[in-house]
Amino acid sequence: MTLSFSSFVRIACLALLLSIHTSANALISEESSYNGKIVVPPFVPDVRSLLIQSATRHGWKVIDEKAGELTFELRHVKANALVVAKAAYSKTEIRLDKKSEGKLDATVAASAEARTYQRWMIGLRREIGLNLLLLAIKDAGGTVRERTPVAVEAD
Amino acid sequence: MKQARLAILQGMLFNKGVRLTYEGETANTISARWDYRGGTVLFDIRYDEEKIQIFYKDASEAYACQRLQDGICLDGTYVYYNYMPNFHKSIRIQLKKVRMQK
Repeated sequence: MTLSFSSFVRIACLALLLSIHTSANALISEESSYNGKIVVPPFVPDVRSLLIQSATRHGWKVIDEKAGELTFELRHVKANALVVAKAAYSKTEIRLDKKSEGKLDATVAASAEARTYQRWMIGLRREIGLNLLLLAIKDAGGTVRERTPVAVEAD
Repeated sequence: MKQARLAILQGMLFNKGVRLTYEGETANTISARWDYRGGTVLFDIRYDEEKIQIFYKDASEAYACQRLQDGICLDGTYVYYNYMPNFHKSIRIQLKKVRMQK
């Protein structure tokens, strides 16, 4: 059975309409759940402090710092896991990236699963988002209870 | 508009269960993120003098919308429909509080 050109066009248009109405947007993949760009709004006074406060609250430690870049490390003894993350930042944006992951003690067989590392990275991004939210509320004229800053261990 | 913005932001913070976090904003749209048990949903909350509307933006596979129309998810997951009413209610509560304060 052959289709006329007009029938073909009609079917193609219908298929296109169905795809617009039925499909959801592009899904967030595993890495993009934490490494997408974070736009920093103008009411953030100090992006570097924001990053350090966010990271250290969940046990990350700053292990390296360059201009516009912080490197954090998370050591999880119970899970025998070590993950290193990099945060590139400017006044207008932050980008998180996982640099490496692996065992804390190579002689021990057990280690964390891949999704565990992803969960920690998402946790880091969430904490940044939460601190941005608190600053946004202050900017909007609201009041928030000050969070007790986490003491950073000195080397 | 200022009251709406504050209500949305406070609604994100005081959301029952898991709070939403800040992803960015434009003149009348706030982008929010909800992370729950390994899955993520992104929303755009648009507001003006008359209304506040929550639109589905994107999600991880676990919570992906199966049928999206004009930013409204018509076929989501059980978790999505179980927890999203909390966010609606949270914004309504905060809007009421903000109006009483001003």
